Amino acid sequence: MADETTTTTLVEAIRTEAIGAAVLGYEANPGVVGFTTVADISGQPTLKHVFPILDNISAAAIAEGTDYTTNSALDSTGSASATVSEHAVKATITSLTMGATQEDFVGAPRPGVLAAASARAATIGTMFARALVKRQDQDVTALFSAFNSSTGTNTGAVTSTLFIDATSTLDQNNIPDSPRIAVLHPTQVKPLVAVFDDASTIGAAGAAIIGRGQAGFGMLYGANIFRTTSVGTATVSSSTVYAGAIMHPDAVGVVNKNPSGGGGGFPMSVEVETDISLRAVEVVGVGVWGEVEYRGGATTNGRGGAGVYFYSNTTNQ
Amino acid sequence: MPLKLVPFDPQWPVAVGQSGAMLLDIHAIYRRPHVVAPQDAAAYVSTDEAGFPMWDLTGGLPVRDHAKWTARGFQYVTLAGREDLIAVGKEDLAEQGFRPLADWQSYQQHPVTRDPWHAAVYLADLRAERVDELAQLRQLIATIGPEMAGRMMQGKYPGYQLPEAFSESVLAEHESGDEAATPAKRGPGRPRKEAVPA
Repeated sequence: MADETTTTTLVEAIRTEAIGAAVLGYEANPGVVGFTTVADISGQPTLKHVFPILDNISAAAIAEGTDYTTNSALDSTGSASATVSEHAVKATITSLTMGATQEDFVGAPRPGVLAAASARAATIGTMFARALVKRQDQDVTALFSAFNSSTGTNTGAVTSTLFIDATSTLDQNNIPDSPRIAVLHPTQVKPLVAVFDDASTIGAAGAAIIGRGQAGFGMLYGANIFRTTSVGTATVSSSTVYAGAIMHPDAVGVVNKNPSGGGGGFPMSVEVETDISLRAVEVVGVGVWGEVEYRGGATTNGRGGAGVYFYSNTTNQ
Repeated sequence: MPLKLVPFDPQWPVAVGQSGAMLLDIHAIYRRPHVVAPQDAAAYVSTDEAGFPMWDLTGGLPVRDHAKWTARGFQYVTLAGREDLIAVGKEDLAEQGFRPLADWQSYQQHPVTRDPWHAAVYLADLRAERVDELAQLRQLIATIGPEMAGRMMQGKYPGYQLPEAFSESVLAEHESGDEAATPAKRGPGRPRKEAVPA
């Protein structure tokens, strides 16, 4: 009886594998959230986090021997708060599936049911992580088209001049130059590659290094480039554009909360249950987070300007 | 066929569940005034020749921040994705005192994604709407004068300013149209406009 596979061991094996794969999948590719301001409220009795914004205050000259009486009240009314909500993904592994041949998943023919279920669960865990990260990325990138500062072209492709315009706008908004991140759709990035290949732009030595494959495609004019298809579309002057952004992490705030009540850092959990009447195991992945435009709004009183909505035409490249 | 827009429900941004968390995490398309040179002090909202605002369309913005978007001059258009449509149509919501969208299926209009949003169709609708607005404005200028016509348009577009050049061209067209088409309508004593010698 020792080798018998019970419902309990099966569920536990699936749960362990799915969670393990989901954690690994998330850690390997945390997505756009890695470039935002993140608050973790796991284990805390709250569903909300307030990202503080303090208005600029002014200093003044004062004559020697005189009392300075002007008090600068700290105004935090512009603070941004985010409330978490649940996001879910579900998969069902039928009993018959676990009994079927599983070569595609484990690479060995006809493994035991437990091994087959574990392999399937690992695949599901990885896919859950990808799905939830994608959802989170889309939630974050959706905010870009609302940023107050913007530049780009609705008729053509991104150019290095437009890229400089965007980073210059961050400079004008008094946004720190490190770190900065350009979150762009791969189609937006493609024309920028030419900048790296252009000896007249980065020098013959630089172009040669890149030509030999000794340098990665990472930073342009002070901004790290992050390519993702999670960048959505919007419309500018009746033309469809990719709504990317060049920003400081303060432009967007993300608050994470572990759904199971404890453990920080990982805002997702995977739960498994057997549905006997369905003859299947249901696996549900849950991610709990909330996102908010933090300092992407107007620059009034120094509150915003940390993100520039950076757009280009979706088809004319 | 024009895009059927999902009507905005004021409950969406404020409804909370039993935990106190937002009940609905849904996204909607908003239209925002097209601003020229937004990073400059001299930034201004772009308008067409008749003074109507030019609109840009956002991606799917979170509806829970609806007040923030409207404070910025954005206007709600419709829900962004099919999952948003399904979320507001769930009958379970009624148990929490929420009125679910009854006929949510009828808003699945994108032929491929079944989203309620279809940018190309909406843009075509906007163009048609603008043609109607222009015709209406021209008629108002001709019948009640530029000042009253401008005021009436402010009811729809707060801050609307009728460009002088546009109203003058409409009046001139109207005048010449009157003369060309219906000369008999002119009273016998009504003077013709004469060119002023330089």
